[in-house]
Amino acid sequence: MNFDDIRQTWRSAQNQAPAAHLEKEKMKFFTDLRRRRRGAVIFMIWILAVLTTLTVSLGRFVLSPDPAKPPMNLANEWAVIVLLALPWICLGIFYQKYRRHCAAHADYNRSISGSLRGLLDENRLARDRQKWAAILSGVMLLLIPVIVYQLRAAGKAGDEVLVPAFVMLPLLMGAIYLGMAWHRRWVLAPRQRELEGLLAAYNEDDEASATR
Amino acid sequence: MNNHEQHLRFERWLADHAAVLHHVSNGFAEGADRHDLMQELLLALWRAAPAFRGGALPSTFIYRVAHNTALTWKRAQRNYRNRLERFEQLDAELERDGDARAARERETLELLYAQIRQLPPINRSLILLHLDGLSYAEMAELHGLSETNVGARLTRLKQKISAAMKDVSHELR
Repeated sequence: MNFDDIRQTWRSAQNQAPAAHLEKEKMKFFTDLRRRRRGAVIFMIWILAVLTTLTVSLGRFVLSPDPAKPPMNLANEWAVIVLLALPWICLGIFYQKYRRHCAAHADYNRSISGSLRGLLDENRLARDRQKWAAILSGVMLLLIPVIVYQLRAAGKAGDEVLVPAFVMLPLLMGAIYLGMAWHRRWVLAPRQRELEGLLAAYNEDDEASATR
Repeated sequence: MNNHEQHLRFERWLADHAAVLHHVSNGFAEGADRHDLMQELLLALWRAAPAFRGGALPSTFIYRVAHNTALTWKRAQRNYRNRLERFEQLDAELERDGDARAARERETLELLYAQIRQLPPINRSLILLHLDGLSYAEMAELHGLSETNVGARLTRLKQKISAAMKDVSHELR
């Protein structure tokens, strides 16, 4: 079978997408698309709701304190504010980096090798986000003893906070660290190697044809 | 671009260029995975639709999005059994042409796709584009390669595929 025969078979009706098949694929696609959108919206609402609830409750605590309890003294209880500000700062950094990435790689009209470089950059961004999340968790862990000390000194907390602060929270942070390490090891690193391999395949043949 | 316009563009592209997606999904995946890749291709096309500014032909844009997606697509390991069942069901529903010539063409195509899938990803993409009738210049622009490089690669690839299919066609007889 020579290449002309191959080409002829390629153009035959048997190599077209059957209409019924395509219709089914399309229907499944639109169902999945609706599900994806709903999932993404719920996730964003959930994150924002948690952060907003925590910030609003702290704001109310600072601005209109409970008369039965001693008022909040920022000079002595600043650590709680720092703890709550950290996730917002991190969210801001992620958003800014994401915008910068989109601006740098929004062009669908560039070449496939250019898009692969964009994906590699996206992978680097994801690893960078992990680094920031790890730093944030570390800072939070360091802040906890300060917060406990400040709250106990102000008479707003007793021994009941010791187990959550020094056992449960470190365990939770440990689980988050493990999750991130797993994701890096089994998702991000193989993807990085795969993209670098594809880009190397472009370069290798470029060099080969240049020397020919 | 609003949702309705995106929907219209997407439907029009599918009506005009479904064969491109069919070729890419068969060239990069086999069995039940073809449906997964097809879904990925549809999603990529849907997402890219608002970015199409008309600077290039829709077909060039679709080739770029489809081949880019296929090159970086990763076969999902989870729910393989479910996907296999879905695939078998879909396949069973397909009406097959009973003509002997058509059956032979289908068989040849299956073998050709199997040969294409054995190639390294970028060469796989190039041979698919070549079979779809794109010029060397179009392929070079699409991949960000020089025309010389595309030409050299395709000469080797065509020889390789022809030789492999020659063996296969002997077996088919």
